[in-house]
Amino acid sequence: MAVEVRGLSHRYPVGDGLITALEGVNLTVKNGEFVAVVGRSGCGKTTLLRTIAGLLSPTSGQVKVLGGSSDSARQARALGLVTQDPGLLSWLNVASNVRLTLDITGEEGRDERAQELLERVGIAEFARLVPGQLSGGMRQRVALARALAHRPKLLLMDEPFGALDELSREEMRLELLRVWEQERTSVVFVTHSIREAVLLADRVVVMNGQPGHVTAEVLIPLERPRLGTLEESQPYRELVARVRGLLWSEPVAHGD
Amino acid sequence: MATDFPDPISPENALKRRTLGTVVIIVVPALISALLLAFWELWVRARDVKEYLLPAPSAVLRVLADEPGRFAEAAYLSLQAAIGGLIIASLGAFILGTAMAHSRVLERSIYPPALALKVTPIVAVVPLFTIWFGFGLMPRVLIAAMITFFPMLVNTVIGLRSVDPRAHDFLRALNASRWQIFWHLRVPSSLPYVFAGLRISVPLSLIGAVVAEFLSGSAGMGQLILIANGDFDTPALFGAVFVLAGLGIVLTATVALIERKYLFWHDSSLGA
Repeated sequence: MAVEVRGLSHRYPVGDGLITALEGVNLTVKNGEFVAVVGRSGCGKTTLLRTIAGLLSPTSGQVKVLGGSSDSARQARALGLVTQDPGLLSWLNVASNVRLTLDITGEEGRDERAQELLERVGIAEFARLVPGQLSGGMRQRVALARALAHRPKLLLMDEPFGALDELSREEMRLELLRVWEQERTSVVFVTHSIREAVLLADRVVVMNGQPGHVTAEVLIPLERPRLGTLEESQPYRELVARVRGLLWSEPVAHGD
Repeated sequence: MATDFPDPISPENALKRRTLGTVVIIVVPALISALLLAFWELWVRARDVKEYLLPAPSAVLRVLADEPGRFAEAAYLSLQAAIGGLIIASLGAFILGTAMAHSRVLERSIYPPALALKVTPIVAVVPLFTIWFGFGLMPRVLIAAMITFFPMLVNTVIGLRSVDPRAHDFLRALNASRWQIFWHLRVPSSLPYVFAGLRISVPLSLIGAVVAEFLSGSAGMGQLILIANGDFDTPALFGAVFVLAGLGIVLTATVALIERKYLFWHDSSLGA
């Protein structure tokens, strides 16, 4: 299993009280599986992802990543992270941003691997530009390349295309599918776009409520490789409708 | 009806315009300075102002031209003290700032004495330093360091803390060590703040050096001013002002040039 989350709860202090972001979350991701987590803003998707990445400690519950703790997965350099604002290093050019991952993990053959990734995500010709000179879509390509550079076993993506314009989003979804077909890492992909989740994932996990918890899962048995034309197909539309129904069937308030 | 669109700008024309822009940026300020000096010269001559009150620019230039060695040597010594002080202050600020950026306890411990050092008028410290360190370079460098230390420290601490949390998360997910995060993320992130500190500190360092020299009468532009003052040599006093203003401008421009070279990636440089 790439990820096994059991009964995960997360609380954090706000003012005098505690806010419960997650309550009893269960989630599994098989090796090589692409799982999308959909939910409204503030349902704890990001908290869940950061906990899997070992950036947050769970208040209670169990998180196993690649068979061990999330810390051990981090130490094994098995994780790659892409966030909505990717946080590229603005003083490094595109090539150096990708290379930095390899400098940190201490890989061999860094220049070749960096070059290979730049070509794979289609930004080789922009290698000498700095992030400030790139469009949002281009920056996310760099973010994807540097997150994959050290061949992670688990890719964690937090609304990576959320800040892009509609056309760039469509382009980047297909780009991600294309790259993923080649790398086949396990992916946890957090998004608030139902269409995006269904297009990309093998399985869509629906999160709801405050505190956030998993309310449903939908298998997406659509054939791969998936292309942009898939969005016109009947099965795709039915799956989107189903996920949408599950997402809105739950009352917004939950628990108390 | 025929509509006339303006001709598109060709790359050659755009380049020409830019070159013209650069020329204008240099020529206009120079012209304004020259006009001010000309006005000053004419006013002094027309009103027949006494030289010990306000010498004409030509009289000041004559003093500078008559004894270039005297001014050059004094300027060199003051510059030495100012830059020496600035380097010591920057290094000290970097070392202590690093400690403070990583530990709240250290931050709270170091901040009060640093603040005390800042609010102490350097005028009160110069005699002490002269007793302790004599009339050499040391006390003048230390005064320049003292006056520039605080702005450098504050900016270094803020800079080292101003890391992009997303970049920090990314590096942590890669299991980057504290040292790697410091070197690859914190230090570069701090540079815009460090340069802001330098822009404040460069003129301060010059002030520190000259005040120290003036009060101890030991060397440099401060000593030159002290002596000229005793002699009622107003043109020499103005000469000193001109030289110090020139040093300040050159130092500030140097920092700006270095900043432009190394902060090309920053928002302020990309024109975003």
